[in-house]
Amino acid sequence: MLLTIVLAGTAFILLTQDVKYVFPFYAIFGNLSLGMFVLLKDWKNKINLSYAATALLTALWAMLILFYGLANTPAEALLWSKIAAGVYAYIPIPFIYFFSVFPKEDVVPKRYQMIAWFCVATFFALISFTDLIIKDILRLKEGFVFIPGPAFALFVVYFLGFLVFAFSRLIERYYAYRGLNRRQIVYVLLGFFLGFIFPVITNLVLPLFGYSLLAGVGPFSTVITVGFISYAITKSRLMDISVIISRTVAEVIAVLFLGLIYLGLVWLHWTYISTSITFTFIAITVLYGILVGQIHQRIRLFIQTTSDKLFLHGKYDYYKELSEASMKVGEKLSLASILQILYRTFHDVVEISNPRIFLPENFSRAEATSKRYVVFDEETASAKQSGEEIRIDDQLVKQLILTRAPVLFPHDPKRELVVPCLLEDRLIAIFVLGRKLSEDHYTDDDIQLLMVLASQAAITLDHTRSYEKIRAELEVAERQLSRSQRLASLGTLTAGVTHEIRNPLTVIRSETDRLPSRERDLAYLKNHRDLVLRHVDRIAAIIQRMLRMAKEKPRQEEEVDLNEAIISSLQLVAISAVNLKKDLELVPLIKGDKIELEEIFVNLFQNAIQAMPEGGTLTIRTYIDEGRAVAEVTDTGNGIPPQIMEKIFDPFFSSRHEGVGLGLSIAYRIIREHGGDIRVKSEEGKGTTFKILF
Amino acid sequence: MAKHMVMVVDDEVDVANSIANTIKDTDRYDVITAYSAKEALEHLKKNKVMMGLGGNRIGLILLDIKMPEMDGLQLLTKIRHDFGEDIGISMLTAWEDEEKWDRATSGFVVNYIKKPFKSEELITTLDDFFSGEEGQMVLKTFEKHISKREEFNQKD
Repeated sequence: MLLTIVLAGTAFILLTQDVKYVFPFYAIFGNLSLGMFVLLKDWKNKINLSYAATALLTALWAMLILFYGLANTPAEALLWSKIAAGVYAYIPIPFIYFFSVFPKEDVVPKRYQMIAWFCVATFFALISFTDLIIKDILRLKEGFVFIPGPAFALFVVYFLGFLVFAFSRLIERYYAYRGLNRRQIVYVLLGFFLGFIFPVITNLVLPLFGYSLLAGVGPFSTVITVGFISYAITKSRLMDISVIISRTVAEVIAVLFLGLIYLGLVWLHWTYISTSITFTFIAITVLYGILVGQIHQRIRLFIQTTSDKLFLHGKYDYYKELSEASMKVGEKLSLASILQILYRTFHDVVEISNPRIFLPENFSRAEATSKRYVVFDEETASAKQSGEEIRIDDQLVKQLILTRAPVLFPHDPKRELVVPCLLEDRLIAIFVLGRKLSEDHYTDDDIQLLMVLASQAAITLDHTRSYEKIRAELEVAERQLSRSQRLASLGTLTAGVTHEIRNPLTVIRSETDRLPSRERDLAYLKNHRDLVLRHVDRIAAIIQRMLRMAKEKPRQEEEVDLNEAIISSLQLVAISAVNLKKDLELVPLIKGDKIELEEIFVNLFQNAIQAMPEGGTLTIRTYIDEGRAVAEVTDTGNGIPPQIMEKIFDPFFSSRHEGVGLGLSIAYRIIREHGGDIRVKSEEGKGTTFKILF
Repeated sequence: MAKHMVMVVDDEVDVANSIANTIKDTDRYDVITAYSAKEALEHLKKNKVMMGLGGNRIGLILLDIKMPEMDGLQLLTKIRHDFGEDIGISMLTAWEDEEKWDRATSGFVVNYIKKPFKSEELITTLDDFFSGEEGQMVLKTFEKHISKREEFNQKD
């Protein structure tokens, strides 16, 4: 609607009058509409009210000046100029009021002050209608000029005095405020100064020296004020009508765009088809009208979204995304995922350059105390080696805890904003944020939302700490369990080992029994010695392996041949209950712990054998696949039912009654610790293949 | 009278040879060795008397219970199926698998000799078996099975 008025007005002026009236029209309209919007937004708010009054009075005055310029006779012009002067006399009142209460209503002019100002204004308004201020109007060929009356100088003094007083008030306030408010004051000061300096010169100062020809155009520089205020509204959320502004801008662009296309069409028609209104012309117009009706809204929305992103930085999406990020952070448990969300929010949503999250250096180890905060990396969820640190006794840390508020360093682009993540009086983390990519400063809203994000992050990070601690404890427990499982599986191992030991024992015993009858048979004795030693060594080796398995000891890092590990683990399993097929190829050596690697195979072999109670074939293959050493253990047993497939690596999950259910989970852990993968392929009734890749 | 023939079946060559030597040392028995179930079955076939109608020259088999491919129990079943009940079978065990023990009942084995055994124990088994106590031995083992089985049942 607004736009229709603007366009209709422009069109009307262009058609009926002169181009020079377009700008006055914009001045009137700009002041009028901005004043109205600000007023309607919150008419009880003193800031909005006083600004609206100033803008509306300015609009009225500009309109009167326009009428003055358009007047037919000097007498008529005189009348308009007197009314204009009367209106003008009142402008300082809301103006000074606005400058007093902006940007915060902490200083409200006293009632008696108001009455006094009002009296002065009314005095000047009243004498405006006499000849004391404007004596007469003359018509020159360039336009009307007015002859100042005897009190004109007084009027100028009054007006300028109030203006200076008002500006000084706001400048005073400029020094009293920080951050966003300060920026808003700058916009307002600049806007009003630039908007008022010109009419003050043309309509007050120059006439004082006898030159009043420019009086007619004086008001129109208030467009600048309107522009500045609008900019301040959109950028710094002044009086909160940025939606309307952005919508208006979008409407203007959309209509201009569609209008230009239409004008182009008309021009084409005009030049190439006909200069009169033909049926074709009407058809085109009607079709275009329909088209506009269909797409205008969409184009407007598109432009508004784009311009919002440009001018408001996608403000609304942005707020939504920020609060969503706060919510998402709350859902996460692992440090890595929390850091990821936070960093992503800083980078993509708030668009901050060089954001850093500082955490205590021993964040994951709750028992260790940290002396400093260091930057944590999102990828590894561990301290980055950036060298950047904030010592725990740093003044900044103390300040953050004491004030519980973010700290702004407006002149430090690398560290413009520091937001504390506080939980009670513990400083869980610190966000150190560089300047926004847009080069804008942080707004109060940014800070507010970042604070919400920070407090959410503090809670979650604190939970994470206990979660990480529990995870570390779990790992220790798992290790202990793995040991007890090893001890438990000794029982199972014993059965297999018994056979292995008893056979050599049989040989040793029988052969030794036969000794007395052959004590002189040297060849026999030598043979006997070899035989017995061989079998004693065999027993010793078996016992050695059993002991190694039962013992807990730090992990060894050595070069291990998978095939060797497989062969020695085979000796610990009662393998002869099933057929064994070995297809071992040469594979690269693996860095790791031989005993642990053997444990994987012992577990897998035991499972395979237990999966084949009726006998079957156990196939062990090793080969190289894409440079990785691969071991495959395949049984022809019952297979794993698909419904339990997911659980087979869980601790304590067992499909057997006698099992502890740790075999595969331990195997999994060991493989993981060796940087390997394990894959399972199983078909019920046909068998299972475990493929381990290192 | 020809010596009784004993066959030692064990997949471990050293074990089989050692047992065979111990038996040979007594000079009272002929001994053959088989290192796998397949070999054992071949020996049994070769030693049939009058196509099996006159029994088998092998009187007693010392059978390792745990061997690859076909284990002792499977072989036992096969022998009983192919060569009847007349051949005595003594199980050599290093691995007291209770379930297997139980299953062996159906094979009517002479006894179980646990590795590592004393030479006398082995020889006594042979002597007893060939001096006509075969029936009693099988019965005794069978009774042991029954009580063992009852023990299991009670446990369950």
